[in-house]
Amino acid sequence: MSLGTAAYLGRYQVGLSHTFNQKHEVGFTLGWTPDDLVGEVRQYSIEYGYTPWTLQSEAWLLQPMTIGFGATATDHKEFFFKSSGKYDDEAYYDATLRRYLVRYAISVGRQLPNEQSIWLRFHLSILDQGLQVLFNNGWQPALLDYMSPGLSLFYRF
Amino acid sequence: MGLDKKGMMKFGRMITIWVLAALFFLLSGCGVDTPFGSQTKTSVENHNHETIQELVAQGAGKTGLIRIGLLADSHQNYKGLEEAIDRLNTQNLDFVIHLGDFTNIGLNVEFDAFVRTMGQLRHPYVVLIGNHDAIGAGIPMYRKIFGEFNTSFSYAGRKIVLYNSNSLEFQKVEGFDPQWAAQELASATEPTYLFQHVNYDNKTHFTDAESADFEAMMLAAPDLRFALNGHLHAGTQRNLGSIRLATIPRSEGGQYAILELDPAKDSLSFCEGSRCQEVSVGPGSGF
Ligand SMILES: [Fe+2]
Repeated sequence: MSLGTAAYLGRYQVGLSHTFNQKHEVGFTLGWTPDDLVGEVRQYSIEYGYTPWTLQSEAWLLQPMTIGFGATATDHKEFFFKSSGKYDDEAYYDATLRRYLVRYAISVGRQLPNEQSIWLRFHLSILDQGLQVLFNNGWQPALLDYMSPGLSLFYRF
Repeated sequence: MGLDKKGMMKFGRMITIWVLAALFFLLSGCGVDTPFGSQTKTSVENHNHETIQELVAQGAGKTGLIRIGLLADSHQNYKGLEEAIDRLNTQNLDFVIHLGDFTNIGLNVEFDAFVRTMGQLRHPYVVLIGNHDAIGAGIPMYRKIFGEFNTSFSYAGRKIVLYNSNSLEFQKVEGFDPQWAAQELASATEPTYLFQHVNYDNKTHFTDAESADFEAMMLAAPDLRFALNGHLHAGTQRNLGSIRLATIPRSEGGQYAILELDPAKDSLSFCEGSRCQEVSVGPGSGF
């Protein structure tokens, strides 16, 4: 169970995830962002993360690297999957209501009695559009704007 | 697993990398929370309006040659846009106009990336909204960052008209207003230069009747010299009566254009890198 912020999944997030063998993690997140100009933005995200190492020193835990990918979508009315009928074809614009992202994270945890643990995770996400920019332009300072850091706090039980 | 010496070193290295990454992001102003909103990192607001106020002051009393740099359809080609900006920076220019489509799908992150890249330009610039910039949350973001969708100003005895021609993207929001353009052109008392993103005869955006109306309106204008658009990516030019029409090439590959207004002649050149070619010439304007 997690609480988090930013990294493209919403200003406020709650999530549920399941971990297999301490390495593979799949999760679902609900995000909400207030927005002055377009109204509130609700988001639905799914994520997969791979964590090769979990290091432990007494009750402290460290996962130096989680690499994963996610998909996030909104039901906001200004965003669409297919371009409307007034255009020549439905792929006139790339879909705007769904984005993919690649994520890197580092997590620090504390082992609790009874096999449970509490964790703080720092994320860095890059949007699919950013990967497209990287592919087409090579490194550009503009790429910094296609990345977003975030934090989450989660409880494993 | 427990922490052995090797593990500790790996641990230390990873921590260092991530602390550096975190610092880097803190210093560069972090990111946005969602790609589906209007939240941006840039603090720029009402950019066109403020720039135009400075230009009007700068243009008052100016005589002789006027040089305007033109950019269009940079989308996500930041490399090409940077190349064009580098070239424009080496030239004497009065100002630069970007004719719109500075994003792919009007995302907040794209507005930020564009503003960041244009920050390298050493000339004052104004930006038209393109159809790609007017989807998603693009319209309110453009309004906030750049200002009015339609605007005109007088510069050194010429009238510059910046017209929002994105008919399909402005069906639910006010801002597409051909009547405004008609009024601006008809009331002009100075040589007039019209800039718009979508070409007026675009088959997707306009019916034949709408295109014909716009054409008649341009022809009836007292002194319309050039009508320039973007959207089509490839540079082209033709004449409509005494009006010079042209599509400004997209900035991919470092392309841009220069409009020179001079008492002897007006001319439009398409450029790529340091090579420019004059493609359209009209009678002189100004004094
Ligand atoms: Fe366009």
